[in-house]
Amino acid sequence: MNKNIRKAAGDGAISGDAVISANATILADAAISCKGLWKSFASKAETLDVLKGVDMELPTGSSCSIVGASGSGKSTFLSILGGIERLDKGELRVGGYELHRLSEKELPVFRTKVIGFVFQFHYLLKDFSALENVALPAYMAGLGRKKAWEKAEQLLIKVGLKERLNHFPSELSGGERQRAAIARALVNDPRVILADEPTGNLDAQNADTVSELLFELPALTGTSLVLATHDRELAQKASVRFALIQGSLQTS
Amino acid sequence: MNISPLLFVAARSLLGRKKAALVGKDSKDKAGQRLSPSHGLVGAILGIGISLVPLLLVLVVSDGMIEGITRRYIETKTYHIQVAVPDGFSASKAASGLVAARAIPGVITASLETNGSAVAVSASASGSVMLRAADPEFFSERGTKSYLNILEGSLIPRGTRDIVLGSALAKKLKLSVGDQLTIITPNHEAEEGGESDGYAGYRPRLSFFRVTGIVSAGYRDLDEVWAFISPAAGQRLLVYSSCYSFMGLKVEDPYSNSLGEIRLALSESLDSLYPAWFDSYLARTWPEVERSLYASFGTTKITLLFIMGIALLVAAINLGSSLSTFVVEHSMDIAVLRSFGATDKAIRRIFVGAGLLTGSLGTLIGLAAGLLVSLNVNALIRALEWLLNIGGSLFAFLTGRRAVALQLLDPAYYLEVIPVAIDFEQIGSIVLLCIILSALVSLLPAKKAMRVSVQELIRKSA
Repeated sequence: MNKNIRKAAGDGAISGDAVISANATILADAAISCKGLWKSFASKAETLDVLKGVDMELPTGSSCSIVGASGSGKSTFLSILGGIERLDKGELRVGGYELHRLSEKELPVFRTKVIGFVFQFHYLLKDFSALENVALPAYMAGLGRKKAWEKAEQLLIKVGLKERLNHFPSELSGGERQRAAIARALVNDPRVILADEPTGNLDAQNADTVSELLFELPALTGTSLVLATHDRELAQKASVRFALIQGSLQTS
Repeated sequence: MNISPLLFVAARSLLGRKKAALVGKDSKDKAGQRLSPSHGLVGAILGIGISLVPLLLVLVVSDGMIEGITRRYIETKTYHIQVAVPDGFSASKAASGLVAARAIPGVITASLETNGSAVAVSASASGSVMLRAADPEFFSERGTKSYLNILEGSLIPRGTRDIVLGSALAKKLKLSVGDQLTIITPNHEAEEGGESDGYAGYRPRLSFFRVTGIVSAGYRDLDEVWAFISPAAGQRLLVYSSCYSFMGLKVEDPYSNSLGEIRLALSESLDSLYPAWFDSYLARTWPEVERSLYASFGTTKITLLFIMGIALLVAAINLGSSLSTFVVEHSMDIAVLRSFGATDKAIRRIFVGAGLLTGSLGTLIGLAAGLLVSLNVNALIRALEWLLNIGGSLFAFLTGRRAVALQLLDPAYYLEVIPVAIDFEQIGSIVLLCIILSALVSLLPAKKAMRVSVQELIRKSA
């Protein structure tokens, strides 16, 4: 691990009910803590303030959903939490790492160690089998080939793809692919899963299966879940529900 | 950084799946629309391979041709070391020098030769010749015998009226063994008496010979000018001012550095024997005697390699372009790799690895194909000639025209069989160059890949 990465003190899990505060001070043991998070996008014509001083705390092991209209900034917020976009102002701590202090070079390490992504599309690599797709992040993170493959196999069994280990993405159904994507997001034991419309492309039955896995599996390992969705029903399953309205995060 | 996962990703992305994809189940699948491996990259691999074939062919064949011609020149014409001697230097005067030369370690033979230009006239044709009066020892030497083949009659002209012709010359003059031939040379007496001043006073000397042998060195340039006569005939005829006499030495290994050492030892020995006229510059090794010829060979070879090298460069640029397309096609895959923490360095290594892999595959294909073509170049030319002549005959038959036999490489102007010389050091250098080029051209696509952000995935989802 790069010595420049400043690891915040205390990363133990908080047991019991999730304590969420939209205007809380940064807690050392929270999976995500942000205070006064601000993000703008400037164009020639105008500057668009997407996030206007967002405050949020998510204890380790808990889940939260963020709903909001298209263009409200849900994806931008997830991008900032995942270390993809940089915040303009504010403080942000995810999985014990102070994101606002990390350099560009340190962000990939942060993503490897802390974040697991689940997107609307599965984005499985088409030339790799389900097993290889799931094993790859662990293999690239330094886990040996044998261990990475074993871990991937266990995860694929957990998401119900025992019979599909060596199938390629084109040989899997939409729901199966998204389940494989969830297994891939979990393979590096991340502290936080960021899911952006994970059921947006699925039929109702597959969406139910995927949402169950999404809420159950991370909880088993104490991984927190942040879910951005349009789907009010799905959002209801989260311990805490937020709505992103006009750049502010509000409990709903 | 552990390189194995990166190579795993590069190799799988380039070479595709272990088994065929099942198509049709999900035509809307964003990540599964294209078949692997990329057709552009297959083209790039073949491009590298195909461009390498002529390069290797030129290298192997030109080396073979140069080596083949060089061997023929030095064994049948130039000798390994020449020592120029004064005009009228007879065999008796040369005897002690030849003995001294033979005594030098590494020297196999030493003999005297005089040559000069003349005109040969047969009953139906005439042409210029180089008369060579060489010692019998020259003809019996192993190297000479290897490259100077008797086609008709005998190799050595023994009588003063005997003459042995090169095969192309005999053909040109329409002569066979037993035929008569007139050799016209300048009249030495006229030269000395000053009667040849001005054309009006010039009186040529006509000498009559009988063809006793026809020989071939397997190389037209040599075969069309040579006429061997006996040393006795040479002493009588080759006495005019433009004639050249020399001691010719053959050594054990004419291609080693020992050639220079032998020349030095010879110079010292002859200096003490002939202090009146000998000087060290009169002793020259074969590369010095034929310098202009080898410089011309070398220039031709380098020019051809340069042209072929440009083709290889174009193929390498094509590889870079294909890799750039590959990056665009795989931008989602790159973003996925980034989403689980692949660093810029890792992405660069994946794509440089992909370039290296592609280039190496192309190089391997080109190397195998190039060597296969080079080693079978004679058979391939014959096969191509056969095919062209079959086609030509068919065309002639259909159009009612007369069929003309086609010869791609007329052996009259080249060696009869194109020799092949494989220099593994040079081939290794070219292989290395290809691989380095592949890595270099993949740097730009790698840079492009490094610019792909995870944001792409979220943007596409939104």
